[in-house]
Amino acid sequence: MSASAGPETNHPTPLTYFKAAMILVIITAIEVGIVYIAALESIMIPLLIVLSVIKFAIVVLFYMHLKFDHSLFSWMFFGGLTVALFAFILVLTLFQVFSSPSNPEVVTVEAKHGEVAHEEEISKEPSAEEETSAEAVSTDNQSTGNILVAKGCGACHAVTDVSGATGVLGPSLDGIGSRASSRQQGLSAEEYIRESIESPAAFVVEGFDPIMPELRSTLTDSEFEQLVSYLMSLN
Amino acid sequence: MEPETSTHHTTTGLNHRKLLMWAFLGSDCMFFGSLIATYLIYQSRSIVGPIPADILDIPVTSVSTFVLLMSSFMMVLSYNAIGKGDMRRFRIWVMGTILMGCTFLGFQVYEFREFALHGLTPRTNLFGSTFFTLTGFHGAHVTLGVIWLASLFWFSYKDPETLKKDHGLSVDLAALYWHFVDIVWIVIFTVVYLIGGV
Amino acid sequence: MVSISSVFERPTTYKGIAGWLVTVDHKRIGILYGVTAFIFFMVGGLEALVMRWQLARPEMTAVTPEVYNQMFTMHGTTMIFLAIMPLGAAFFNFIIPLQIGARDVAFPRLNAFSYWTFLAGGIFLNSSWFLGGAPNAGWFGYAPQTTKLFNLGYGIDFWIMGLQILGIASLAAAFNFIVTIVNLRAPGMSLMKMPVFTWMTLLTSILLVLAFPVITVALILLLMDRSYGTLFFTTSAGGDPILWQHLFWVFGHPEVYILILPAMGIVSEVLPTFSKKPLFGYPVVILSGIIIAFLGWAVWSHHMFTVGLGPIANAAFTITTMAIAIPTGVKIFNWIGTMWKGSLVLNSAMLFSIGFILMFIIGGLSGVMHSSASSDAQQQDTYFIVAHIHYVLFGGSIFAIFSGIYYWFPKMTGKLLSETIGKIHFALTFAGFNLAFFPMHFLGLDGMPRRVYSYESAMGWDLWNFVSTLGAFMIGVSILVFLHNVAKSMRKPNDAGNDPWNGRTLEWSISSPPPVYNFAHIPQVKTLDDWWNTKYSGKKPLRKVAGGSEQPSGEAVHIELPGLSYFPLFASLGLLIAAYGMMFSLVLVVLGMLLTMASVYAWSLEPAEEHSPSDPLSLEAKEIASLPLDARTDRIAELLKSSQGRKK
Repeated sequence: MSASAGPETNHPTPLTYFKAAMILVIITAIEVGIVYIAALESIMIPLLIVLSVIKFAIVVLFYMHLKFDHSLFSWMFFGGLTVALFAFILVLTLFQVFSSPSNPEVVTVEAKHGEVAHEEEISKEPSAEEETSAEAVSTDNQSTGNILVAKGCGACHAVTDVSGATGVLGPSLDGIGSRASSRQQGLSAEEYIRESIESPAAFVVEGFDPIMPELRSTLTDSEFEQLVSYLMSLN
Repeated sequence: MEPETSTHHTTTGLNHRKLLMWAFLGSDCMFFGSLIATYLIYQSRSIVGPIPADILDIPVTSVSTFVLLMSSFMMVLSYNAIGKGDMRRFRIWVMGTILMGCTFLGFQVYEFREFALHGLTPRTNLFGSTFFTLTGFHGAHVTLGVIWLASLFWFSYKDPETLKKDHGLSVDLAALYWHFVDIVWIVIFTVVYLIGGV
Repeated sequence: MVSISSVFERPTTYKGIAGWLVTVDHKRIGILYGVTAFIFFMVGGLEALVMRWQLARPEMTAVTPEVYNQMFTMHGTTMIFLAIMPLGAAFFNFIIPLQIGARDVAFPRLNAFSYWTFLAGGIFLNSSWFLGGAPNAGWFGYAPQTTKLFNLGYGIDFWIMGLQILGIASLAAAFNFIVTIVNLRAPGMSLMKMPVFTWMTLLTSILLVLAFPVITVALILLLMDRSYGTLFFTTSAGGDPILWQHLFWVFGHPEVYILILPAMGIVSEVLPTFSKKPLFGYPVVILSGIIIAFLGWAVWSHHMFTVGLGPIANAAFTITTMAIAIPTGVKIFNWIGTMWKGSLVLNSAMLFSIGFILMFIIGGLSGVMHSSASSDAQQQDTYFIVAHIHYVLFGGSIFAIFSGIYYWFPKMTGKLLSETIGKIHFALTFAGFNLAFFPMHFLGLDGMPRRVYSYESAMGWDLWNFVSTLGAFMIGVSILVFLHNVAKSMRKPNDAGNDPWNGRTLEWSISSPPPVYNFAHIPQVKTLDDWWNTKYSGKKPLRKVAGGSEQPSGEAVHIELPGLSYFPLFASLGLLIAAYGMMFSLVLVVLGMLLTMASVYAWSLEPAEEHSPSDPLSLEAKEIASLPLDARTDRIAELLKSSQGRKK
């Protein structure tokens, strides 16, 4: 390896750069187009990822001329990139980013006690929410337990059987169904639970700070009912 | 007897500064990796709106993405020019890159303002916090790049010969940084706007 | 060009305090790193002694609980970021260019910048004691405990900004050493002919540049939460406390290897030298290091076994964590194999290295115990973990660092440390260390939580806590013994000679302390342990010379030295001012950033020549180069004598 054999000898010409620029523009246009084509919705995400990887590669290989440069540079850059991809895909997996799609209407249900590969998605179309959610309440208690996680309750409250509900800022919800009736004079268990969600500050369990936010407005009516009946069922 | 000078005598034959630049870019992957991962983790966890689909303006951002891509194209042309010792073309293209970079930043300022008017600030919800942090730090990288390129532009009048040294190494390094900022945007555009924004 | 260079004359003085302030010499920067880090090490040690005093008896009230929280936070932060890492950096700086046959690091000014920025970060962090209270949330600063909601006051802000500054310093240094090791090796030194310490430095630096950006982002998020009201860790807005833990430990676990790999490198230099055998299985030691560095990215969640990641995640991270014990175990066998049937020289350096192996095995074994998620569920946040981390970081890193100090002190100063005092130092450290930390295993298994302010006598923890406190003070005494040893040595004339240990690597081929240009002639490397093989190959007659390097050929040389510079210091100063500004005043932020930016501009516009002609020392070097070979050594010896005269 001599110093004089620099990389610039076989660098691409401005024409190549121009072609690369055109490809980049065209791919970007395709990407934006894909977003608006309803027919492609199901394969949109993989398609967009592939296209942006191509763009990424063109810039790195041609504009940053890694293709023509010493391989050590490639090692340094792709080494960093690989570690980043590895670590953060692992982090995202731990946060279940891939298993629960960004679409908020879909709640991912995870099997109890860590039985893997048993994931089903209960799709709740907003239009038909009454029936589906009612069904969910009656069929599978665990799925409503997931509402607890999906709506963020689990960040502060713990329920032993729900893997995502492990918070400690608020009281544990284990056995809330049987405890609730004894909390406040004149309130039945169900009324107490309703009140606790609708106006969290009305009664604060001893030893905890009054920090629970008003979250009722983030729930649809059916979700709220579902949540209440789930909490009632925790004995 | 050959005089040893540290710039030309290295174990691998590669320039120190260029190695440093690539090591830095490898490291910066981790920086943006952390920010993008944070964005993805929080993207559907906001308790109150607005959510991405409400507010992200894909047509406008497509234009600013186009601007940034073209700035990369100009950057590579200016590097090509300095490699040939063509100072005039170098100055034209680098000025073009600077202007394109400023245009991109202008779009970003416009976007941030629009969002604020529509009720999204970093304090509104998790989407706001993560979005402004991620794109804000990208914008900070672009700003730094603009300052760097402007310094090179100024230096091209002050001392053109130094700038031409080692086939325009100083320009090469700035260009690598600029393209890196561009590829980060390619990822952000896809992940935040195209996939997350509809 | 002319006009610019006349504006930015580079400083030329090597003398006095000014000479140290503008220095870019890797040896001087290494010494600065070492001395500063050792001072911080003692500060962190004092904090530990306060804690041990408080815990010596049940229900003591030596300090308030609030101060106690600050003590353990600052103790952890100081020891990791201000003591062990920079003590490692001291060796990187001083030794690496010597081991690879270079005249300096690749970016001497950046190197100076790293040091000054480290110093700025250390001062900034420790000044929090006097400016409203030190940070108090533990060294991993879990959010949301560190958010404004639960933690008012400046302490956490000091912690955040302090770590950011230290991060800049570490990143700059790590980039520098990657480029130096890749690009400044002497001709012939292929990767597999590099000394192990150089290898471990390279791996450490790679880990550093990949790990620090993650903590940088985590700290930025926390800072924004505290200062600008963002919601990253605000649970009522859906912010997730687990996110902080993940970001922190994605950084934090590689950080553990950043702390231990240099130690492994030092031990791998010391053991072969004093066993009079080459390192057993050199390629395997290197490969194990590489595997540790890579696996280190896949184990971080073992710090989070009890947060409820679910059984699959816990099982996966249990497996990866246990897997990392394999390359580590391999290294231990390599070290034992190195000593096996060697003619061991049991001096202080060797004793500390052997101590390292013993203590590191214990720390490693308790590590394997809590690599199992189920077993960790019992041990999490107890003194068992405290025992483990100290067996790894004190019994591991600090023992190795002391070993390195005894080993390289003669090279750095030209003076040997006293062996008698050194052995007393070792005995006290070894006994004190085990007295202090072994009982913590019992305390932990007995349920004593870490970071408790006090405990009741009824808990049955009295005895072992008292023993532990005795041990801690014994360590304190051992440090005083060490300081006495250093002070005593510094007063005597140079007695080390070039190669007091019959060393194996290139640094022993030049005089002690090395001349400012290190190698009058860049060596040609042919083998691993090149200096050893040169000495014993029998082909070349060896000319022992006082204060000069071996000259294998008669070529004339042209020595270039990096020019000195004011600007690294100013750039770091700007960062320090800006960091205080973040606490107290926006004006200071602007001023500080302006100073840093101006310094960076001035830095890049400084005359690019590697040295200015008026530079007296490079004149000396040139003069030496122009002399005939035979006359050179005498002239060098003469110059060295006069330069020692200058120091006085």
